[in-house]
Amino acid sequence: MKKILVIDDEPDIVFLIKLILEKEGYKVIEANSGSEGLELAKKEKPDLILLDVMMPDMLGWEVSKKIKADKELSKIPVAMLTVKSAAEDKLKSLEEARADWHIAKPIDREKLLSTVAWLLEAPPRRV
Amino acid sequence: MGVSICFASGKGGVGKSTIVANLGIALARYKLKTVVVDGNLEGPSLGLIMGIKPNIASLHDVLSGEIGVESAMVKVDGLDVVVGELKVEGLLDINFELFERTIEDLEKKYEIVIVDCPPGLGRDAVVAISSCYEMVLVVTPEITSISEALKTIIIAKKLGTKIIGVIINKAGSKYDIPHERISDILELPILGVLPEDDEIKRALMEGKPVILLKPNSRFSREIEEVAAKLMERIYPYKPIS
Ligand SMILES: Nc1ncnc2c1ncn2[C@@H]1O[C@H](COP(=O)(O)OP(=O)(O)O)[C@@H](O)[C@H]1O
Ligand SMILES: [Mg+2]
Repeated sequence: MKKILVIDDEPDIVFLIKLILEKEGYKVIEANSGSEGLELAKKEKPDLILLDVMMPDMLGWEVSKKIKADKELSKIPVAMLTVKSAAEDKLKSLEEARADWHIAKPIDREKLLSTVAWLLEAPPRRV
Repeated sequence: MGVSICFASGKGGVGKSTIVANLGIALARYKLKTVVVDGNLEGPSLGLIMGIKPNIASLHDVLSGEIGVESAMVKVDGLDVVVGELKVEGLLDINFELFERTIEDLEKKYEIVIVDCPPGLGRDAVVAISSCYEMVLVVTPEITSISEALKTIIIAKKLGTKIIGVIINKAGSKYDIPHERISDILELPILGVLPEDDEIKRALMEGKPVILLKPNSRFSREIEEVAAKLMERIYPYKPIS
């Protein structure tokens, strides 16, 4: 069973994502802050990380950068999942934060599921 | 008054010039009064792709104020083409301010003006983008191309050029970013998906656009569909002949 780590400070959002993903048979683990997310990623080595941007302790972009700079975690695909969805934000996700993809909130069930399936199967980068 | 559309990508080598050359021919065949302009001043390639012999009047001569744009027209299979100057010295005399005026002149005489943009987002690209009403983004289904496309979107927004859609080129590998994901992240409709096709390199060697060399290939047929879509947008009432 594929394990997906959701890092988001808003419990309602986490609840919704969990509901959608668990129904499709994914195992979902959650963290409610950037630092907690990083710790959990190291401990659990998930197959995919879904990452909010606006969190009180640390921007999701920073979390992604840290994941991608960590030899043990860098191969785990990361998708930013955020309301910040101007072209500038998406570019920041892909280039500066080195995330693998950027999904815009509000969450669209179909889009989320196809993006998750794709990222688990064939993430666009492998470094 | 015609519409000007630039084909841009940010990233080089994604297939803009190949698409512009072939699409131009397809549009002209639909009897749309079409001109294609090689806006890649530093690295023009439309002439090469279309087998136009060098040493003829070029956009560079127009932009240096030497001649009017109508004197730089070459016909290829019913399509009007304005090529670029292959000698680098040509770059020295260019007056970028004439670019926008040249496109305006062409909009008066043609129903559609297609501009092949240079790679990158330097001065030449910015001038080409800001001179056109609309833009079509060209990408390959890879992450690096998507980043460059996002940069192009940011610039187009600032310059007020409306992006009408994206063409995905060199498609067909199992490693392609899924095409719906590309449409999602760029927030653009897909105007066409063009396959990777070796015949395009042969066409380049022969100096004959693939739509003439291999009209029944999937690439050529897809190009025709893109042409039909553009045609419908511009001219909803004109029947396709
Ligand atoms: N669909 C395709 N399949 C195979 N080769 C292609 C395709 N499209 C373009 N090419 C080749 O890729 C290279 C770059 O294409 P080009 O049109 O010059 O790109 P650009 O104008 O964006 O820099 C050329 O060698 C061209 O022949
Ligand atoms: Mg080119």
